Amino acid sequence: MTAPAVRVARVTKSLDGRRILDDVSLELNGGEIVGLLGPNGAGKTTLIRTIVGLLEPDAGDAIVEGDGSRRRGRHISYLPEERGLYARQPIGETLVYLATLRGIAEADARRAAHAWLARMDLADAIERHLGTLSKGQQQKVQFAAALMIDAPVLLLDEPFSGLDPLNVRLFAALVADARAAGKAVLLSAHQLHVLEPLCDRVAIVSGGRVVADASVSALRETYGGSLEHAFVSAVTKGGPQ
Amino acid sequence: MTIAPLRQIWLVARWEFVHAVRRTGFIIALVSLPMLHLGLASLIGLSTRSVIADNDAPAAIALVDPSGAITARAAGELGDRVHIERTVESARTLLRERRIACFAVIGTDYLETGRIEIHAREEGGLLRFGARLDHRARVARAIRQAMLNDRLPDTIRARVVEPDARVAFFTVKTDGRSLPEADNAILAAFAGPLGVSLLLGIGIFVSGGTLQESMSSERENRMLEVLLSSVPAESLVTGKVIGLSAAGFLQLAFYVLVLAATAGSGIVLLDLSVRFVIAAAACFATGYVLFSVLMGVTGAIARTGHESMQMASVWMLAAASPMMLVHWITTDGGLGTARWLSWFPLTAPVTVLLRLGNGTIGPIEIVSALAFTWIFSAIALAAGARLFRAVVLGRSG
Repeated sequence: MTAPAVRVARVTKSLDGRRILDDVSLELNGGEIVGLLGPNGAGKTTLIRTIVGLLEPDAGDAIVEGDGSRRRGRHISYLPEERGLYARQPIGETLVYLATLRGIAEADARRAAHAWLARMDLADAIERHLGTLSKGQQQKVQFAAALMIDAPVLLLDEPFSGLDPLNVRLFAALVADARAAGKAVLLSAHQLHVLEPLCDRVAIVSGGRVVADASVSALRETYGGSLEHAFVSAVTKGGPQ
Repeated sequence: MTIAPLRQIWLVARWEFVHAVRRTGFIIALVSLPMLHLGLASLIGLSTRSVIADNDAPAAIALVDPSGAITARAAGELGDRVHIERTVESARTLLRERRIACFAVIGTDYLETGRIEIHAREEGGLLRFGARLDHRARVARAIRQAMLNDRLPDTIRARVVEPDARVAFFTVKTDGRSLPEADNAILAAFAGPLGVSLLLGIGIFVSGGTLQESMSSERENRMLEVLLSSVPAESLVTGKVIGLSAAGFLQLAFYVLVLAATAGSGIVLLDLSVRFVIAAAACFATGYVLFSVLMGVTGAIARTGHESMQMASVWMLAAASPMMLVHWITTDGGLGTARWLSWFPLTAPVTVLLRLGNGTIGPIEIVSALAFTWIFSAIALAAGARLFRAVVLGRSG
């Protein structure tokens, strides 16, 4: 039996005196897409930031396979909720810089930047500044920045927000490709209709706790009805009725 | 994929340096700072030339002595620098023709009252006061010469007229020895440390602004989370401080080159010792690194540019504080205070510089005080990076 790519074990985290995560446990395996659902302020972003290593848990641990205990995030490709890249630098340079910071050789990073931008239909934007692109195009560049790291774990915080349906479809296809390549994917989103066919498993977070963690079909079976119904039931009533 | 922290620091520093020097603001500042200096130097040069021209043209003066009580015995024997005129009108003509700098009308009751009128042109602007002192001294010298004419042997008369014609200054050291001290040595003791301190101030101002701007623009671009997911906060802040300080240093080096090219002979006149130059360079490097770290960390942890500027003003004030106490800490009475300030990191670089000037600090104390400041800088950097991480990431839920 192989070890999970990510193991979150009884993590508790408070910020500004408020408990954001309360005894959260979650596992993420290679070749699996896990959807992270929850109402606004449920603790999804804090959970993802804790796995990346940006936040230290107050209790418990979040272990990424292959990472040492002192420095998490080396085996993670991360798309933060708060989008942003250098607005006044050429996009290609920014992508290469971010990749080299993760240990990718400059020549390889340059090739990867070209390839990923082409895949995002932004091949001609490599010399342009980010500020000259539309918001959706900027999001695609940021997604390319995360994917070109080619880490075994992909953490995506609200990847579909603000995208048009065509780009939502593109992003979903890229996430499915990552799963096919054996990567472990955790993505938080509110677009249930996108997650339902895409995810192998869904974890629902509410009030800093994981209130449900099962496959989409199991959730539908347990709560009855659609994923949306399961989500509403899990969040408002805390369990199946 | 693993990457060594030093390599990450290098990558961040290189990125920051390259992008800082490519900014329009940097290029404008790079060119405008020396241009401003050259412009000011030219203006000062022009005004100095104009003052010198005013003062130089008429080297002579005239004495008008209606009663003849003073000049009668000296007429024609006061040299070509003193004209003896019979009337005020003839002296006025010489003045208007710029053949004399001024003329003095000696009162008929001069011997009893010392009353003299000195007439000079309305020239010199704010420097007229200095010209007045000069006129007064020259008139007094001419009167002394005239009064003593034929009354004393030449050599004695010359000494009475000008008793301090050749003066050499000596400084009595604490061990009782008197050592000669030339004027340019006194000038070097003051101007050397002052110049390097000013340079440090300019460096802090230039680099501090760039560092703060970069840190706040990172926040505006919402890049911090992306970067911190790849680079530890310590490496990120260290790389930024190194890269942006190097960019600021480049700006400063260019400025100093222009300064040296335009004021080279003036610097040579200061007669700075090799020991001073080495120690001053060490003080500058120490102060530059310390304040770059403090400015960078301040920019990183402040929530807004305004907050950052307010916090940074504390560092600026601390850096400049030894200059405010310069009179006190460069005298024997203030030596104790100077020693304390030399060991306090925020005041150490400038205090050590000032003490270098008056020779009250030895090599061991210089090295120790500066080493302590370097250690403080490293601790401030590490603590600032941790604080930065906590401030940036600890706000949201």
